[in-house]
Amino acid sequence: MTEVIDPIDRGADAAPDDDAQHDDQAAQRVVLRLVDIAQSVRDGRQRRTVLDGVDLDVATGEMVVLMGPSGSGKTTLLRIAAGIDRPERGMPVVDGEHLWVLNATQLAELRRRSIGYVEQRWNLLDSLRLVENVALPLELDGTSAREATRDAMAALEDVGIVELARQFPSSLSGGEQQRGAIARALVGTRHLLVADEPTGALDAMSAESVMRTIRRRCDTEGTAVLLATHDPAVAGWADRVVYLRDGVLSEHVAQAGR
Amino acid sequence: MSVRNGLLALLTTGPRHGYELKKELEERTGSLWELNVGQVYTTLSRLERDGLVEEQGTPGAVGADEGAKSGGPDQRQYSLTAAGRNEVGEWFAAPRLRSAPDRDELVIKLTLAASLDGHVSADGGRIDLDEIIDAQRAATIEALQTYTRLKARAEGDDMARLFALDAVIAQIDGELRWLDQCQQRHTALRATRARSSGPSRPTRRTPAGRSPAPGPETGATGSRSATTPAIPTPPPPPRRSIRNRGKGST
Repeated sequence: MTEVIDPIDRGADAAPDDDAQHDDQAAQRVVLRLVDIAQSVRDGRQRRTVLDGVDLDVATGEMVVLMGPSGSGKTTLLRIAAGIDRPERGMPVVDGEHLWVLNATQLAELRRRSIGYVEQRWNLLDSLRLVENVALPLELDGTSAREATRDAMAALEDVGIVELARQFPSSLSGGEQQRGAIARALVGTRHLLVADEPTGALDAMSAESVMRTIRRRCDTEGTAVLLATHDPAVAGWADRVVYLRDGVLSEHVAQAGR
Repeated sequence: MSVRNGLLALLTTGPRHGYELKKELEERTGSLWELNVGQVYTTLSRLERDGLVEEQGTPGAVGADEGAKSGGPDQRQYSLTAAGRNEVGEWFAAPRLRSAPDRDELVIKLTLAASLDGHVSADGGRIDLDEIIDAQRAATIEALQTYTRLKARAEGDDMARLFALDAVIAQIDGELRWLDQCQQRHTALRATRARSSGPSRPTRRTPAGRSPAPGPETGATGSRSATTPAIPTPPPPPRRSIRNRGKGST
């Protein structure tokens, strides 16, 4: 478990032509690009490498599901993809912008504009009605209350629970809360959804409704999704399934066409 | 599927022709299985022999089964006898029992691979449990995606279809969990053995323990670019170094 990538090996393999070829035709389609991401975490007195050169692209309308054993670094990778944490090495790129080249204001602005993040639970504030929850990020961003509410209602419409807009989160089922969280994550112009076990606390039917919602967002709005789960049934909704193990990704391939 | 019990169950709502029974049984069980019409007629004649159904109407001129196959519309209808009705009731009432585990080819393959891991196979290759599991996982995930897509397209009120797809998906889901568990158990056991046997087995441990086999080595990366050409492949250096790491140290 203490293997080290030979730096010479890495350097020798950096074939620039591969990149250039793809970049031209697909640059506008790639919403999230992770390049050579490395990260370690504190583990007792030592640091443990959890990500050791992770590369991953997520394109418009694509759902990539990240799987792997507990402690394999899924959450670490998602937080880096969402611009929450800074990696020790490598580049997270969203909408063509290298997140950590931006200053703090620009990064916050990019995150508000483009990236939604959903966790397993407690995504919504109990003291606010659903529509207020969803409108909150826009209002914090300076959007007028009226406009924010309008966008929030549209987002709730998208996830199929607009009729619950006036409810408080505590009166919603787990599945409805998560769909509300997805609406909030994707309100306004956001088109990259990073979701960490979004169905982890849900029964099978609620999980299915959440996955249907996310799938529909991908297919109709072109939302790009990076979603971590340990539930294989959730992985079935993906276009691609990648496994995180020993700090690197290995990939499985969806059939072409949907 | 149990054609026999399925046919009997359908007949509880009234007499049917053989071809109606075939079509209806397929549709009402989610259209995931295709029935052989010959099998339907064979089963019906056995049910008739056993006194569970009875035939009404005009049989084909040439005789029972031949008449059905040789073209002209089959006039025979089948209906349930009292004994048949009884049989249906018993079938629905009796839970399925798993008296013995189903013989599953994959279980046999992996259990044997577990004991043969590292041995040289006939073609000179090495039997590598991790690689076998990784390759299976890739194929199983693909099947899972296929059936999940069918579910996404199914009508929300088509309960038979959704039931049937949920069943297949649950089986695949179980298989994936099992594959993960096998691999984790294998890894844990190997680590334990390596610790207890000290430095005497380092060559066994290193390559297999690191192997991220499915991606870089089994061609998944290649087929990805084939199936989704518009998505650029991430820069290759780390992958290649992984591959070198996995294979090179063997």
